[in-house]
Amino acid sequence: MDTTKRVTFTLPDYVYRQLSLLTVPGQVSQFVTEAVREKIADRQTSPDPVDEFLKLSGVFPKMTIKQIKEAVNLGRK
Amino acid sequence: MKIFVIDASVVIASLTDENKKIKSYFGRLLKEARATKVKIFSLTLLPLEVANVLRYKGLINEKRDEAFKIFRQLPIIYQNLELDEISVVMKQSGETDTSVYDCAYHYLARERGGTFLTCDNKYFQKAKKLGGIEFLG
Repeated sequence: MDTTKRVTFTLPDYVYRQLSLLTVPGQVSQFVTEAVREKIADRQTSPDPVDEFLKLSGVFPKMTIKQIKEAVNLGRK
Repeated sequence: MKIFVIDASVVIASLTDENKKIKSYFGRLLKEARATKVKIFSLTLLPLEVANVLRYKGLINEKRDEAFKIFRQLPIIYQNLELDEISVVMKQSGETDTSVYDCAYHYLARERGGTFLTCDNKYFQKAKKLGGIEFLG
């Protein structure tokens, strides 16, 4: 069996409530371990999203800041 | 650790190729956030605003979906304001003659001891007296 480390971390209330609904006492650590493992695997195999974001182009026509502000509010009225 | 709060104008301006300086600045900040050197916060409103611009102004459906998928993975921490905080925001919005939405981003930055980054010069000019704001443009 792998050795373990006891850690303390802080969760937003709503995440904690969701976690409580999905787990029973005694299984929380196992659930969190699986979630963290998945996240680590995802990070290790996926390209850096920041690089992907910066490579994006041609998503929009050229827009001024004024046009961007207007676009944020489109459809609200 | 330095804290920044961004609004939709920063994200969209970085995707339009209109202003390379903003894209470069935001890109550098995202890299630093990824390396946990800074924290980037925003309101849970941000993904809705970005999705709205993509829905109305995105050129090609495929690109639009790809852009949102990538945006979702950026190291941005989303937060809600409590109802009491929204009351304060509403008051400040009236005092600065700005929208509640813009003021809410700015409030989040000041409450978290950070800097609100925006490309909206109109808002910046009206609200800079409150402090905790930087204009990117």
